[in-house]
Amino acid sequence: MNLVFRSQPIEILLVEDNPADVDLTLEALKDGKVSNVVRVARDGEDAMDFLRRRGQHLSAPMPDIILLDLNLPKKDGREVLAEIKLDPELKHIPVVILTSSNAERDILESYQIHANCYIQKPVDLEQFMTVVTSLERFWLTIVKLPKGTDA
Amino acid sequence: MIWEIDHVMGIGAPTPYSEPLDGSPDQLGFLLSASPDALLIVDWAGRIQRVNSDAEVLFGYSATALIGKAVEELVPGSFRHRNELQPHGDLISATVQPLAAAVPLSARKQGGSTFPADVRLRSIRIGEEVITATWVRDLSERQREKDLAAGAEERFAALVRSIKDYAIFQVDAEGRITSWNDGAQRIKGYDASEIVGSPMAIFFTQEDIASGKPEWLLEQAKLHGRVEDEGWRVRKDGSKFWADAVLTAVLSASGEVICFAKVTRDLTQRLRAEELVRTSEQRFRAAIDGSVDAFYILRPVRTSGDGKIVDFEYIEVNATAEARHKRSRAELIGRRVSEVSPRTMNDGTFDTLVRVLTTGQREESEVQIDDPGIDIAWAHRQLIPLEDGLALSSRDITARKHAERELQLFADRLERSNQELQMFAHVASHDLQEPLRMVASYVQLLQKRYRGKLDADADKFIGYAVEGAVRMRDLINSLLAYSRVDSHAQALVATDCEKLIAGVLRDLKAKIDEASAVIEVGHMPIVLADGTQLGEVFLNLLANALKFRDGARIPKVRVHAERRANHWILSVQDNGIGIEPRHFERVFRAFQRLHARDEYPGSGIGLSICKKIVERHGGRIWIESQPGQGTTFLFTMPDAQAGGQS
Repeated sequence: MNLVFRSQPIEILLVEDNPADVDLTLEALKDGKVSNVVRVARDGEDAMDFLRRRGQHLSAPMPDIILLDLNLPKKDGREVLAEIKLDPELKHIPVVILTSSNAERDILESYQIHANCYIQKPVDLEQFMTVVTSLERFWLTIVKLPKGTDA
Repeated sequence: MIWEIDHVMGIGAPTPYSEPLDGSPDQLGFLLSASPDALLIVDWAGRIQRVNSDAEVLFGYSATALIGKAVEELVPGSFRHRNELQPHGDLISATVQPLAAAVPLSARKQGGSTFPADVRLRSIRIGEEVITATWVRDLSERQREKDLAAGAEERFAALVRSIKDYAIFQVDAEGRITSWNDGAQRIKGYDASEIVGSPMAIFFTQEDIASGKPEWLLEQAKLHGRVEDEGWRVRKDGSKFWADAVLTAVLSASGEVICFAKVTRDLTQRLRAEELVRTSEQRFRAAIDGSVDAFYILRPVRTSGDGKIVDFEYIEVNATAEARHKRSRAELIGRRVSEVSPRTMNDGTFDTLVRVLTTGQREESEVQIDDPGIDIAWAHRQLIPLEDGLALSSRDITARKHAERELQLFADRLERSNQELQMFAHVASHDLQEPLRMVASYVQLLQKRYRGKLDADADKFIGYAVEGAVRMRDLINSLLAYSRVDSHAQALVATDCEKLIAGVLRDLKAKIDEASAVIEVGHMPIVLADGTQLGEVFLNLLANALKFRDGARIPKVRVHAERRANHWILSVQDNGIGIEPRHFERVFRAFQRLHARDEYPGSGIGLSICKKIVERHGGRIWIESQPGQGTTFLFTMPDAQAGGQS
């Protein structure tokens, strides 16, 4: 795997209400190969404020990738996904559903609302780590992302 | 026969013939032509002088041939008898004088054939001469008729003689036996020579003889023409038999008894038959009275106008029926159903009875009885149509119905309980996933970040915590898998085992290669199954076959299918470490492990999932094994064609 030189670190928006899961994800991303900055939104409303640069997030940067949990307070992850993918300003951003559910219904629905991919959080730490680093590798080094609109 | 007649013109009181006979040709000629029979005029020497045309026809000779012949040539013996006749000068007076004995004469015609003849003679004096007028009548016809009649009589007599089923014999006016037949011999034992001449009384018992029965019977027959009697008769060997005898009087025109005809029938057979019927009746009674079911025979009661059935009458009931209605037989027989069990008129029973009677078709049904007069609540009824009536048998199934209801309630409770348990297991294991994930992940993170950074004990403690978490994860996954057998159950469809096994072997490729195992798959059938679940069974069994291999030899696994009536026996055979017979049952129980965790991995749920899946398909799973040599797991699956349960 080649090291990729990027002028700026990748902006990751993590939408997750469980602090334990936030820390786990951060821990896993620390081991990653690509420099990245992780912003965390704790609920669906917070996530939309961030993306729309509202409220306390007036100067928030546009994320290069969004990691989204489905079960969120205030505004549910599915709603957030739908809003993002319908918004012409936001729909280009890859959204990875990272959630504990493996219900067929959730998977189907997510893809139907145009999630880019769906990952079930593994129980095992090692596996979790592997998943996150794989994510990183795939989306941030292999795949081409559009340059940010405010680059 | 020869009859001497004097009177030519008619038989009876003599009438004087006014003209004296003088023998002139004219008078004789008149006689010849007027005669209705063949007439020969014979001279005293016995030679034929004149004949009539009937004689020509009868004897077959022409008149000229006949004239001059000796009459003895044609009717031998006829001329001889003329000596017994009194010559008469004329045809006056004298009456018919028959000869004492009739002698049949045989006349001869031209050609030599003979015929029986009736010859009548009359001597006539003509002047000095005496001629004999000889009338000849051909009796062949009459003889034939007589023979026929005699023949018929003889045949009839032979018929009567040969009848074997009836004793038919004649008894004279004094009561003595004058004839016998085969039937009499057979029935009474005597043969004709022994019995003819004996009195009829010989057939009667001592008591009957003493009381004068035989004589009384003869008297009755005389008085009334016939008498019929049923009673005991005695055979030649002294044995008795029950007889039906008819004595008929044969009377003369004046009413005198000529003789009696007796026809006797041996009724022993009939008696036996009656006895059989009686015995059968008794058995029938015993059977229906002994029956635990109520038994009735009903007859319809119809309106006189249109014959419509309006009610039913009890013709026969058994003991159980009496007990059910709390009435005795006498209180039921003859009574109407509407009176004894009024509810049955309105609850559909009456309609059913009418229907069975009119359609002539049997019917069976289970009915609920709501009648205070009857002490059962549920009955299984069978209705059988009879000629004009019904047989009804009613079994008390109250207890069974209650048991059924109890069972149904219990089954419902069980079903509900199962579903709750199912839901609980599913929810529990599902919801447990999250906190488990937290614990496992962070304990592992702790282990990763702080290994060697805390004291030795810390590492050890954290190690144990991690192990625990991992085991918990496995357990919960197993529980989830187990509960999915029901929650993720799919319909049973035709499934190609060959394709399924090929897929499973692909999934196990890594393990197969690692063990250098040789897998042999025989011809696999199409079975009726949930493909996903059947795949899980094969996966588990094949994985086990590889896991529990004997380190000393190359693992060989053989998958085989054997046909039975409507199902297949599938088997997975290995040459691994084997299982002891005493563990055959245990291995199928959830979480039962036979080995230490560090010897062979696995949660111990695989086989119990296999068992649950196989049993869901209506089959069974079992083991054959030799410890140290290998194990075969066998299970049944329904054939896709038959679609039946194994």
